[in-house]
Amino acid sequence: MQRTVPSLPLAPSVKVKLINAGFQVASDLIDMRPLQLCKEAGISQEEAVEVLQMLRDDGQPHQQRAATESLTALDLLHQEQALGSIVTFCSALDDALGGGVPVGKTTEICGAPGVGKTQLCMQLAVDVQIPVCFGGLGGKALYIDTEGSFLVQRVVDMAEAVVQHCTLLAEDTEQRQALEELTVEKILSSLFLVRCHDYVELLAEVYLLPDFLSEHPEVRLVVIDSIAFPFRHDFEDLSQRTRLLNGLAQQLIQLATQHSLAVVLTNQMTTRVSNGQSKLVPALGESWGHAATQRLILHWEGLRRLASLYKSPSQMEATIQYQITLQGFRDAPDEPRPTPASSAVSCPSGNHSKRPRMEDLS
Amino acid sequence: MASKKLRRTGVSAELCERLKRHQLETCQDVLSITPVELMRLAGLSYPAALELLQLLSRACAPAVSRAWDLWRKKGELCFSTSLPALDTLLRGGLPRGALTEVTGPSGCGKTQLCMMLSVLATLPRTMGGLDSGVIFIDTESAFSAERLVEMAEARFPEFFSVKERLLEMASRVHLFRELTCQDVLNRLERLEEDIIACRAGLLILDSVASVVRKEFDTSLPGNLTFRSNLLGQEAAVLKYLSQAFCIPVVLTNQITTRVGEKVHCPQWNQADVSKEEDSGFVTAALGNTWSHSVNTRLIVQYEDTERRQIVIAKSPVAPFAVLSYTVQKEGIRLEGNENPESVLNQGTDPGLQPIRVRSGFICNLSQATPSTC
Amino acid sequence: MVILREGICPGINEEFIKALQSEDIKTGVDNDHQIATFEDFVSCNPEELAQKCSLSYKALVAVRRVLLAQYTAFPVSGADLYEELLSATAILSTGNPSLDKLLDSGLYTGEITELTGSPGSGKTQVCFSVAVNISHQLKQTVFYIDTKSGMCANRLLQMLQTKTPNMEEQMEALQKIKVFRVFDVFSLLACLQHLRSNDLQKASIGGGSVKALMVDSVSAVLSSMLGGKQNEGMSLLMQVAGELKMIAKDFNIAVLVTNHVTRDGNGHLKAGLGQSWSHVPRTRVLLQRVEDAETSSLRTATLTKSSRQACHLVEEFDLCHWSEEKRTSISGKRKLEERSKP
Repeated sequence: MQRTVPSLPLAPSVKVKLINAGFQVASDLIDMRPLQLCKEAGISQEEAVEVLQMLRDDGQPHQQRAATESLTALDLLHQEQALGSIVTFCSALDDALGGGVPVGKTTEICGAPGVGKTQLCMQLAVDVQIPVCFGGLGGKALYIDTEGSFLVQRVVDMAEAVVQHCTLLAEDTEQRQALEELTVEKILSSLFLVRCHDYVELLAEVYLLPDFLSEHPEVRLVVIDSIAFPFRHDFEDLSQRTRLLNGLAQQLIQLATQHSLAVVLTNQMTTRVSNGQSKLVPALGESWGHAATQRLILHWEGLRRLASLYKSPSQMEATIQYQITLQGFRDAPDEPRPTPASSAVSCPSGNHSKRPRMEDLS
Repeated sequence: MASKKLRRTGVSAELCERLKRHQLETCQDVLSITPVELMRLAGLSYPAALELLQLLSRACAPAVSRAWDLWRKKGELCFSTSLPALDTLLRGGLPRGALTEVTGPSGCGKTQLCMMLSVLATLPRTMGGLDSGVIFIDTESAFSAERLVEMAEARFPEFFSVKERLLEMASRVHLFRELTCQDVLNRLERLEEDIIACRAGLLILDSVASVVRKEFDTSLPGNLTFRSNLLGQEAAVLKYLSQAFCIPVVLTNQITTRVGEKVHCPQWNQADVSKEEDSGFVTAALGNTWSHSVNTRLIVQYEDTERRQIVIAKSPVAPFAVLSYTVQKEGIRLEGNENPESVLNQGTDPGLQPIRVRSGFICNLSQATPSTC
Repeated sequence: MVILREGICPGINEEFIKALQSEDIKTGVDNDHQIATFEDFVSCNPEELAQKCSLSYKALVAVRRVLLAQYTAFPVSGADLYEELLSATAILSTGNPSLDKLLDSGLYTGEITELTGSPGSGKTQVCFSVAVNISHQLKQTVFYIDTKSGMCANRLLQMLQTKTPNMEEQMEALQKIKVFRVFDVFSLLACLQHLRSNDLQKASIGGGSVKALMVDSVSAVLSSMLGGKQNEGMSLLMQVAGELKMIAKDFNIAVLVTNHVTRDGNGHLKAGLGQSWSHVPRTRVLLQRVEDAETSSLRTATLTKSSRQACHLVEEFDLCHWSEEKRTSISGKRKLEERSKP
């Protein structure tokens, strides 16, 4: 592999010394011994050893291999079909999203206050635990709360509703067996909770996520509610904020892909004045809009709550209505059921054959 | 946590020195820069920089718990308001560890509600209280000790028949008067010590809006962002205090009018009847960002000259609901809520929820009911 | 700067180097350092050198000639360059006539084309459509570097399904699209350099040669590098630009990158990554949504930089034009804008 020295992930001061000593490509260095390198380039012995190790045995196997490994789109297709998605219990929204919140991607939920972002996040945290035989993922969830809106009584309501729903649907023995293990207690025990008070704690938590995920490989959903609050008032230097947010977004996308999880972020809305008019736009700036793979905007229209899929790599834009009931996030009552023809355009895979059509709960 | 010094996190002394030369002394400083910047400032390779960030993250990251652990401590989740219908809707009462805002036109009962909650907090646990002190930060000079005592005696006559108990209750309510924004912020930053000293179980800030609106004229360009940042900081400090000490925090807010395209003008005493369709509508003050920051929003509004309503406009656990109440000697009394259908309604954006203001004056001054707060 | 090391050319062995670097031979402006690099060697007079050290004049001249031949750049005549260009450059159609018109009939190999736009404006969709067109219509391999996990193979399949009902063809086309997933700048550089040295050397992969490389998006990894107190960021950006240009030129590949937009002081949209990056792509296209359109998939493409056409040409197209599926029930008017007063 022909790597140039300036592109290596070494400390800048070391790189400068290497380049001044005339080393341009990795092959110049690869046969050197540490002491020789140390003398020629004027770097310390430890630095010389580090440089040589980095070149030789691909110090971080994960990164290096990923950079050179390629998948064909066909392999990716098979992978995607195996990944699945997390249902939201609002069938209109599930259809718009192509089955639910996708695993392996980051989804951003923006919305005005009180429209239901936290409700949706809590619903997803419960839905991810639906057992595989009912069409769910059977995984655990990590909920990173920065606003203090996570109230466990609500999760208990939603969990009870989900258990009841699954009980109504259990048909064969496998499902009945899975149902025995699906209790409110188990759902609450599989929901990990972290409370972050400022952006530093949030960044620290995200840096530690790889370790956490290797200890708990069953985690399939990470929710950050909300990512806007800690970043909105502490920063005088907005360009620093943009840099940190971009770095954070890349880390989350990397985690989502490498550990096969769904990452859900909540964002707030802010007023922007342009041409003398003010309108509500998602907060955190223009460049943050590029960070998440999928963006869902929840908004009020009078007394109705609407969800718009604004940005998605695989689904078309759509606006649907939903409501929040005592049991959680559900379809709006008078929304006509989507006709079967339209669902043909969503994910063509048929792996969710066991997923029951969600009946409207009263 | 974030301000932990690097020295104490296990970073080598030599590296600490190198970082200190670039003014990076605490975990916060180092975590606020990108890894590539860190590579340059610390003279580390990329993998080494990531390792350093991981080490510092371990020192400052909060602990992971489970929802089940939270649920097992059921009794410590809420603070009962002693208004049964409201408690049922809120699944136990005001949430501990979150911010609750009470907003509405003046004279509707916000400060009455706050004082009632103060009395409740000092009661022993057997009576539904928190058996703790109360910190009351008053920016409008609306707190009245006589009213507090009167309310306590009227609400719990047997309990407070003993004079000592009244005195004890009054001594547990600690009042702080702050009159400017900076004062309020300073007080909040130092509040940890006060909370521990008073053994406070309830924190009340009455009101958030008055100082902020006095000082920031939002028609001037930079002020809106400055005000939002200030409010954001206040909210962050309050949330930290409420979660760290597991106490409920109650804030009061005022109202504002949204009138078409023009800049809003704060209305202090909107006594005139303005039909909502003509001149705009009245809603909670302090803007959209503040509506995001509070976790629960209760709106008090007028129903008619006597009766008022309390509206749950935003809550993570409760649906949108409207309850009727009156203000009596013993504080707030819920009445007229027997029909459950009338309670649950359709809501709208809590930042834009229209609020009904007083439509007429009470001319009969001989009535004993206190109608101002 | 090339270090004189044994083996870089026949005639240079260890003794040669040792003799050159003996104590009393100095070179450089102030005669202060030893002969270490090729430049030092060439700038010395061979006669003087032969006198000072133990090497023969003949050997020195021979080595010098070989080194010069190996390391100097040679001028090429313009006519030759033009001939080369005509024979080597291909134009890859994007599959959409409006976009082709904008790009002067398509993506040119040997050049970098950039797509910018707000979130949701369709950059990734355009990349997908172009990739599908190249792999299916033109039967060439496409390399797709995905930094944002935006690659959705299902969507590619949907697009292919509208082009041909034949499963075999669909699978074959999918196999021609190779996806690399990298998430930070060092992995991106490793990936590009690996491509340059290994994969692209292989002339045929799966029966077709590589003619297109897409990076979606380049700003996701680079935008956190710029600004602040980091100088490294600019250097890394330039290295990425250099790699992309070399890949485009040396292997005659059309490179398509996507970039994000930011707002400047007046609220106008401008492409991300700043002035330094703006010189890198040869052609830049800005994608925007069409406000208040009945179908929400209409987009306008504006040519903001081009060396072949007048700038600010605008073309409108439908994202669904590439793939003709219709969603019946769920789509509706998107209510994004809410008028409200602070």
